[in-house]
Amino acid sequence: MNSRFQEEKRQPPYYLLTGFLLGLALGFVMTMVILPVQYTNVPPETLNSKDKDRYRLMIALAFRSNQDLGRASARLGLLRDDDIAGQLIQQSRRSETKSDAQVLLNLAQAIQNPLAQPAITAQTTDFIETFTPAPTETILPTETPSETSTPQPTQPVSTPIAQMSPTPNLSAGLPFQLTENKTICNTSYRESLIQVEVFNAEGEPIANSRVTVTWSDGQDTFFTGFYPEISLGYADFSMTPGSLYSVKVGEIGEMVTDLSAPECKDDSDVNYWGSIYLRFDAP
Amino acid sequence: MRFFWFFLTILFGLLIGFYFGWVRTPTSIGTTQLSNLRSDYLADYVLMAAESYEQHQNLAYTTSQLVLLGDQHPLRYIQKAIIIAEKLDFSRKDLEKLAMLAQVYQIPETATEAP
Repeated sequence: MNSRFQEEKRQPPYYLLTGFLLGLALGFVMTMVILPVQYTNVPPETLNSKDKDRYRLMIALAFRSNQDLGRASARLGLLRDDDIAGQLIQQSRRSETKSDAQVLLNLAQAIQNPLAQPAITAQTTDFIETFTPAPTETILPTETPSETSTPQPTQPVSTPIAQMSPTPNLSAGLPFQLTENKTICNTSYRESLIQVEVFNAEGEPIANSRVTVTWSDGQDTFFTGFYPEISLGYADFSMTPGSLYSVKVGEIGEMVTDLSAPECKDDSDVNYWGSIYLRFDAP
Repeated sequence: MRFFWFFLTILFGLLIGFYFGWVRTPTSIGTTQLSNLRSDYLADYVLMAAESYEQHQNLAYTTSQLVLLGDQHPLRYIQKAIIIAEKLDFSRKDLEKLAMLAQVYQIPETATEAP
């Protein structure tokens, strides 16, 4: 036997493994960080959540203008949301402005109840008059896509569906009457509230109903429908304990007077200010 | 010879990395922007802007909606939308809305060009 060759141990080719891992790491860095896949020619369903919100708002604004529910539904369908009306309501809750929330809610309401008369309030046009363009983020166009998605060939929506003619919100002229007035003692409420809920003659909650609250040295007007998670007919107002308030729904509704924050007691007999719930129904 | 095999394995690793990064598990497609919309959807987006403009008549607001489509002048997107809308047989009413919006953008330009 040759003793010289016996002493040399054969080393595994680690350099090959090192090279492979190095190449793999470089490949991942390039494809994930430096040159990730960029998509172009995409359908609206693939938009990021922020742009989906913008697209949804755009649909709601167009709907407010043309009152074409068929077209709005077809457009919303492109976003492939499971619950179209629910998404609109959720977006209205995270909207930056009340007017956006209102526009979205109107569309949600129209989808949920297509036979109802669309409600157009003066409030929904307010934002347009006061809008000042905010600095917008610059979106650089991606001209060299690495990969192009091939969505299903879909014709852009041009729906020949009968249009609903816009009618004013009729709830404003209804003589709403107080049907329930109760004290709410709930320790989880952070402040004392006047909670108002407005219903139509069929017992369904009505959004966009004007609620006017007056007190000794002031008045506030607001609308129902901004808390759809509670009820479309719900609105609330924060009371200052000790002050007296009057509440009215619509233009000619019943005026409920002498409302003030009630005193409540918790489990350990400590006093705190409670809230008031008022239910108004259309006759 | 060692270096040859070393670089060859790097190349091999790179190719596998590219395959997994670009083909097998690319970035999620749910992160695209309005500027990436296909031309027919883009035309419909511009049509929505035109429809809402018809009601509110606020050019600044409409501009803020159209600049989301890219860094070109909003008029360019309206012109593109008109071309696509004609190709796809949009209704005459829709074309008129787009044309009207394009006209609104052209008015200030011609006014400023005049001496």
